[in-house]
Amino acid sequence: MGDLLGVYPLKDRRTGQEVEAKLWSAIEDRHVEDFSTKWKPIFDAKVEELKRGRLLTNELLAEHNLQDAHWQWIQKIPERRDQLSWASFAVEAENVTQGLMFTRAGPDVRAREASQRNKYIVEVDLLAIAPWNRFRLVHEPQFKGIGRLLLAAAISLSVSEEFGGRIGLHSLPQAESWYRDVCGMTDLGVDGTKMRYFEMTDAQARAFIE
Amino acid sequence: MEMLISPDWLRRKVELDPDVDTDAGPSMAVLESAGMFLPAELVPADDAKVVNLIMAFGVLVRQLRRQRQWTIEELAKRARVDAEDLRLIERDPHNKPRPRVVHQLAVVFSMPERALMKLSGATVTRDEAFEEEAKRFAAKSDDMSKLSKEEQRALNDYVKYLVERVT
Repeated sequence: MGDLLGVYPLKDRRTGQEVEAKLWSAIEDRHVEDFSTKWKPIFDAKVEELKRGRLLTNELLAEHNLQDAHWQWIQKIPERRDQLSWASFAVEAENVTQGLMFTRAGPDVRAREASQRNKYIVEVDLLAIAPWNRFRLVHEPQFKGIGRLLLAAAISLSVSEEFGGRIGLHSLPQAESWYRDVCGMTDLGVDGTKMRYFEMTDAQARAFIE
Repeated sequence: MEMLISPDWLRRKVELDPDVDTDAGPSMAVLESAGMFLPAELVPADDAKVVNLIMAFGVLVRQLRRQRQWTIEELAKRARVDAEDLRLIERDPHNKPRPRVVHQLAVVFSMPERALMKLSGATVTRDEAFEEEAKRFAAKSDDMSKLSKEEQRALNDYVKYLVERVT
């Protein structure tokens, strides 16, 4: 059983009210269950909608392997639980998983930014928000604050590991402005993952949490 | 591990944050290819580039307003637009501003309307240099109530760029 790291207020955009969210230090089976039974059907529905609108064809689906490969990813979760280099976090509100994060730290996880090159960092391997909270999937996403809360957890982990709050992550295209302009991270360009890599220095981490 | 933030910190920040997606990590890309999250090229709506442009438009409006030391209500009155429209422009890059509001803002700030239409996402652009300039400008912004000298300079440079270079 993971630890409860705290209870934080999320904003429900639909009502304008605050909703209590629990931040857990580990992804548990119930979060994986939500992922499979509550998140996945929404993505499947979106795929169907795009297919109906002829924006997505069976050929494109096959080309992008949009089939059942998500199970392979889910199988990784128990493996990671047993490895010290991995940490995981989950945000729950209204008894449903609203966000998930995996982080990694270890001898090979080092900073790239010039002022902190080669120093240890915490790398965010996954920061995912439930589909009903995402702009690309629903017209009026529900909860606001999950991404900021999870990023603060990654920084807190980095500080507790004595890495000074230094973190690194690859942003999805639609989130680049968030990490660069709002979170104040340094943009180090697109790397071999074909994603844009951002890093937060200890000074930037202090500014973020102050 | 101890969390370094308080509930009140999150409460304050959430009010100021723009409404944008925050997904990250190579595993997200893996999940995209696994069908949990759709690859960007298969989702034509809400293009990330348009969101970046609208965010820069919001920053520009906010800074031009702050430069003149106007409140949102004051700007709304001068431009004869709804204050709520202005709040959305300044805070929500997913909100595509209405052309009439953009037009009114161009008039009140004496800015070229065509450039503002392009920046606000009202007209489609495939101009990469324009997008890059917009991103760079938005990145220099801050939320302090008064413009710093650096922000003032960045704002003046960007206004000059919009007036002279964008047709």
